[in-house]
Amino acid sequence: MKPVLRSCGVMFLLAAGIFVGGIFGGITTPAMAITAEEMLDDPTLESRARELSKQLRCLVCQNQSIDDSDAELARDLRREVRGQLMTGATDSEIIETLRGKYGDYLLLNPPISSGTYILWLAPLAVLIGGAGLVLAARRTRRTGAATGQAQEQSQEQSQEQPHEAVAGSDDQASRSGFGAGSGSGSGSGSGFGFGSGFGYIYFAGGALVLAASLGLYLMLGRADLGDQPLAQRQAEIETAAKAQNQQAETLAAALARAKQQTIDEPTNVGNWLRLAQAAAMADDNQTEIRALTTAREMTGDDVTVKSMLAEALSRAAGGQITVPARTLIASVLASSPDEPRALYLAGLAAYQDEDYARAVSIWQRLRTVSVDDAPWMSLLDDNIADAAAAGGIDIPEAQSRPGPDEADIAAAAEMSDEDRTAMIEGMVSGLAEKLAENPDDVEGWRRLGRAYEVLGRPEDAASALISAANAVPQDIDQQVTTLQMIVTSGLGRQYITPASRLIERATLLAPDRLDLLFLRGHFAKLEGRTDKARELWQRLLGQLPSDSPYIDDLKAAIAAL
Amino acid sequence: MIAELGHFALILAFVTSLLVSVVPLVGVARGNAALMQLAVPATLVMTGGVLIAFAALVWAFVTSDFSVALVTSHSHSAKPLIYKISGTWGNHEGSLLLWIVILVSFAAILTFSGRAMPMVLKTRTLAIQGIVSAAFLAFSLFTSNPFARLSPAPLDGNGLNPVLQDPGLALHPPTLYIGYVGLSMAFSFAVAGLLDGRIDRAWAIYVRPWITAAWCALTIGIALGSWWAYYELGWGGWWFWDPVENASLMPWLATTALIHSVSVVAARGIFKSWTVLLAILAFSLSLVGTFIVRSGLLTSVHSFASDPARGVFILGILLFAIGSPLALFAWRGPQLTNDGDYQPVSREFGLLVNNFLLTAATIVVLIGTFYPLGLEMVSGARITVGPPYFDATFNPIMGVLVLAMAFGPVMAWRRGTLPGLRLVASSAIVAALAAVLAGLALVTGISLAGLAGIGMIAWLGGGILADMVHRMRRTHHVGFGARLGAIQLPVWGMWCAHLGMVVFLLGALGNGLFASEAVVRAKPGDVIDLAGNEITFAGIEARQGPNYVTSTAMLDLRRDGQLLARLEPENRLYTAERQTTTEAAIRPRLSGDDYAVLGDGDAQMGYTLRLYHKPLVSWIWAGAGLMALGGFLAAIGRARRPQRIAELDAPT
Amino acid sequence: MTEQSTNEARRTGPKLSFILPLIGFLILAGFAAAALFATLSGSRNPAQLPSVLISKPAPATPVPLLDNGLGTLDLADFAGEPLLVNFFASWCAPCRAEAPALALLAEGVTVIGIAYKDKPADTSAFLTQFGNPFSAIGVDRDGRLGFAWGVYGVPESYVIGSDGTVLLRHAGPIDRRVLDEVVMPAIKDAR
Repeated sequence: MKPVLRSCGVMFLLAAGIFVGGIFGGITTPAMAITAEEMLDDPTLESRARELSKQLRCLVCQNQSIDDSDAELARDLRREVRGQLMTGATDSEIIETLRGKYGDYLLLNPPISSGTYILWLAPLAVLIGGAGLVLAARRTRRTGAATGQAQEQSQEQSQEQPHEAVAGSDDQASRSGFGAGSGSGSGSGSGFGFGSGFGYIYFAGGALVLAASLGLYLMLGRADLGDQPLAQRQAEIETAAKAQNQQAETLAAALARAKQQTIDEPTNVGNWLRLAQAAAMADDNQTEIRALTTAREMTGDDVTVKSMLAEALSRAAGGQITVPARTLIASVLASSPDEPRALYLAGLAAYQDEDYARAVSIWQRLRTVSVDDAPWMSLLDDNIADAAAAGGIDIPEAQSRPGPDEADIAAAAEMSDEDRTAMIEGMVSGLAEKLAENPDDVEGWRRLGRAYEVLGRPEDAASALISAANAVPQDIDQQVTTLQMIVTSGLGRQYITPASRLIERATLLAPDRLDLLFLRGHFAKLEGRTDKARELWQRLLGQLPSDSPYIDDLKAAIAAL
Repeated sequence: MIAELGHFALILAFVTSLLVSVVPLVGVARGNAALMQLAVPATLVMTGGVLIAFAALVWAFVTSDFSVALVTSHSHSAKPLIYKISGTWGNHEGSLLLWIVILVSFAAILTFSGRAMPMVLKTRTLAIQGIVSAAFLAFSLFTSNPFARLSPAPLDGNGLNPVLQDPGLALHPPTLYIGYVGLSMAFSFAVAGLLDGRIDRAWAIYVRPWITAAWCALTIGIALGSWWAYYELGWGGWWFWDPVENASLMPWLATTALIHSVSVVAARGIFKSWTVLLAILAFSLSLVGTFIVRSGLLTSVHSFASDPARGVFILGILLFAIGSPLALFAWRGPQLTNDGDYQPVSREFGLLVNNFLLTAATIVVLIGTFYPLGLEMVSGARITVGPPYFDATFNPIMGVLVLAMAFGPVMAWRRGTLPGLRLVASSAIVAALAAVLAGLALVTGISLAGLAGIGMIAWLGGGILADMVHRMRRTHHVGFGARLGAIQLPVWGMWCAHLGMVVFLLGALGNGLFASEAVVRAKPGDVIDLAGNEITFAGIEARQGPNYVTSTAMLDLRRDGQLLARLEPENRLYTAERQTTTEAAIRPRLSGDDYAVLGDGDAQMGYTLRLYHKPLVSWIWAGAGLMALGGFLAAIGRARRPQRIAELDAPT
Repeated sequence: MTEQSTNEARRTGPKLSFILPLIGFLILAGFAAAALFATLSGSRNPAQLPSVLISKPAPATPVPLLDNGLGTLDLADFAGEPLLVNFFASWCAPCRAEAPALALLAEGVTVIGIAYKDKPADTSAFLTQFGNPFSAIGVDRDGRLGFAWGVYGVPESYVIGSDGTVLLRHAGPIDRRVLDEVVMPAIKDAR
């Protein structure tokens, strides 16, 4: 299940992005601008058509007329123009008709309307207004010039002197200073004093710049990443290509094998499920969907199969959780609200709808009903983080769970036995108290059970697990897990009564479940009802695949009754 | 390591640019030579940092280092080397870095070339240039970092848009940026002058080479872009009034006015406020162009991945970098004094008309480009302002300018001399009439607009020739060769540029009026007649290129039975990017291009072929080239023989 | 420096021409800023064109139904309640993405689908894979119906009022945000 879920996770990233092609993703093979067939036979009409086309904008292109454009819409409009010309419409009538459908945007020549008066008047206004301003400037100058003429001439003369030398590369000019101007002595112009002041400034400036640059770089840059020129990566590329090929071959072979098995043994549901899995790995969506549909019929709408089918449908749609898939998911969650795959897909659907809050809450629910070491946990956590980021939701840090967790247990492994025992017992008693107050915390009961197992107290562990099973009476998996634990720790006899209640529940939920059959047989045997046990185990034997490793053991157990 | 080194260098350049922006100006305010002198070494350090960063980025692209996020998103191992290199600036972050490279390099050049400049002017100019650089460096580092890394590094990139894998497009941005950013120097000079409170003739002489260089680069850059669109986009258009094209045209118009206006300041000490305003406007329009391309505000084929959040940053830069100088102009501009006066019939007046018309044209294009946005903000209505609007408003203004261009050069400073005027006027009129009559006689069904255009071009051409004759007559030399030699290089430059305009107009008009086309569905063996040629469709072939596969049509072009050329238009499929492009086949000739495009189709139905004959179309870019050459000649001429102010007053 | 009076006289132009550039720039910058912030906040989407049909009666829809080639789609059958008319196609990628939102909408509102330039077999396959929220589906093989409505791309959705008037057009996929902020309020108003 893990690779399938991972590919699903990758798919959702693809699905979350809308195609860059924009709204008009459907323009596949463009016809090249105008084709010979479009042209009318009558040359006058045709030239009118071309002229009109040059006046009309292609709405889906960037700034082209329909005459120039390759787009389908342009072709349709060209056809429409010619069609109307053939019926004898005048040029302006055609333009009005098209304008009536598509608006002013269609016209490359902006119409003269209330919105465009300014546009059409502007050039005139610019010319006239500009001329007016220029003339006014001239007049101002003239009146000034008349009175100031004498000064003007003397100004010119006095200015000509320093101007003389200006164009050559002559330091003189800079000293006679234009622009040496801020009033201070002209020595600041070209007479440099290379004093100690300079070195100090350069040094200070340089150091400041270097420091600031380094600081900024450390914030922005990735000094840890080296270059990866393609020439140095040939080996990597080859191995990747080889690995890809090999993987493709293996997957193809696996798919072929799985197909063969379903042909050999079409009544075995497991074969169909394995075929679906192989097809999923090999990206053969159609086969996967067919296999799962068959399996669904065979198992009578089993929820796991239905959710697998929903996943397959989504994968076939490029990662989008389609409406039929959503219907399936909803039906699964109606009967099994904790089915993990369905929950995951439901969260994905919410994410694709941009309903991030809902996605986060669904996925968090999935988190709580999953065991800690479920294969999809890290992917799930990433998804939750993504959705939270996208929706701007704050998720509290993973609540510090009461009781020992993996880290604690790992730490415990390093302590001395006594210290470890003491530590765990301390944690455990804390957890037990909490659970006494809140007996519905399945997860807590499970952890408590595990902790007791570590502590070597199987009865307490069994009790804890029984409480866990009682907390979720609809959860068949939990019932079965508890029963298995009881059996493997050899406590069957002691816990027959509570176990039978679990068995009743589980049988109602999934009467044909194989491991349940075995457990029922086992407890029947413990109760002394050997006939019942034999009957159950015989039934189990009949349902096991012929190559199952358990057959011999089971036969032996039946014989031992 | 190299990528991180580049990153660090960029940061170092940014911090240094902050230093350059602040300390020297403090030094000027306090008269502290040491602080002022810091401008030069700090500028050089800033430039060095940026150059190292750029080199590191290019290296990352060349070595296909996919741990650099930019390389992964815009390059691919299978790309040819030259496009790996040009891929460096084929994206937002890289092109921004290129912009910065040119910005700081020009400042560095000033530190060497400006030795004769007055200290304060030079310091202020470097500081202003530093402020602009700091703004762009901040934009790059904090919103568009080219050195963002990926870990783990993918094994291959996502390729470059195959449409950008093209030599014309590799050169178009650098040339254009040299133009845009060269204007920053004029801007810095202008602001420095305003801060000083006075603009001198010497100021004009210092800033003029920068303006000329920027103008030449801008002319070439725009021409390259237009030429690229012509041969790449497949329908033979060369100008679309696309908002981004407009964003490059507006600075060009303003710089053309500026290049004339600054000469007047240098020669006569007048038009100072015009010149300062134009210098500020020209660079401001470049900045506006940057804004349009990178903010996603206006839809355009040119836009980089649009990101309104970046747009906010750029808008902030614009408000500061344009608003402050304009406010400074409003405050200090009136203090700029004019050193003289002139008669209505004089070269000054002619150049005033020139300034006025070019500025009006710039404003008209500005209004047309931004009007849809303004209207949408005010009333929510969406309209399009397309080529018909600009043809109706811009073309007439330019027409009047073309008419005036005939007269400007021939008039003398302060007052026009009548003999020269008479010669030019009569030549212009005669030439125009002759052309119009010829047009009427030779071309059937020519439109009024076409006749007006022909007449206008002839008017200008006649006027320029008359001016040449007039000037050569007035030299004191004897003999044609000697007279030619007596004309100074800047004058040759002016003639070259103005004639370039004539050539450009001939190309635009020739292509506009006399182009012919044939759109057919053809099967192999069909012959199509076009413009006196017979074009035989020989067949279709599948071919393989370095990173694409094509289906290529083979067309034989014959005239009078003689095989002239084989045209091979293609449809290409780039395998890595899974994108198709059309490659037109062009046979360029001075008299006109033959242009063929392959459409879709198959063996049964036949293939759509679009064939065009475009007379004189290459004159459009030849004209632009001549204009740029003219500017180049003028710049060289002035550099070789620096003119003394006194000389400029002498009658020519 | 020089005498103030002559400076006055020799000033290079009226004050107005010096302030004009700044004013012009500020106006332009104002528009640009308004547009930029509107785009950032989502209230402006350059790709959305205002429909000419707003406040006009919805155009007729004389196209065949998908389910059987015999019947014709007629919006009058659904008069008296607000509708959403959705132009979609199997080849349109964003149409897939909007399927869940349409399904949600369809629980309370009648949604009519128009299969735009699509083969009926492809449309059916699309609906099987992505769900069918539509009360009725019309088939517009050549796009003529789209043209009558001024459709310029798919997906495009129109909110029609109880009286048959076009109230809203949304170009592009309807995601949950658009559903909550744009479509549902329009439908509420229409009731």
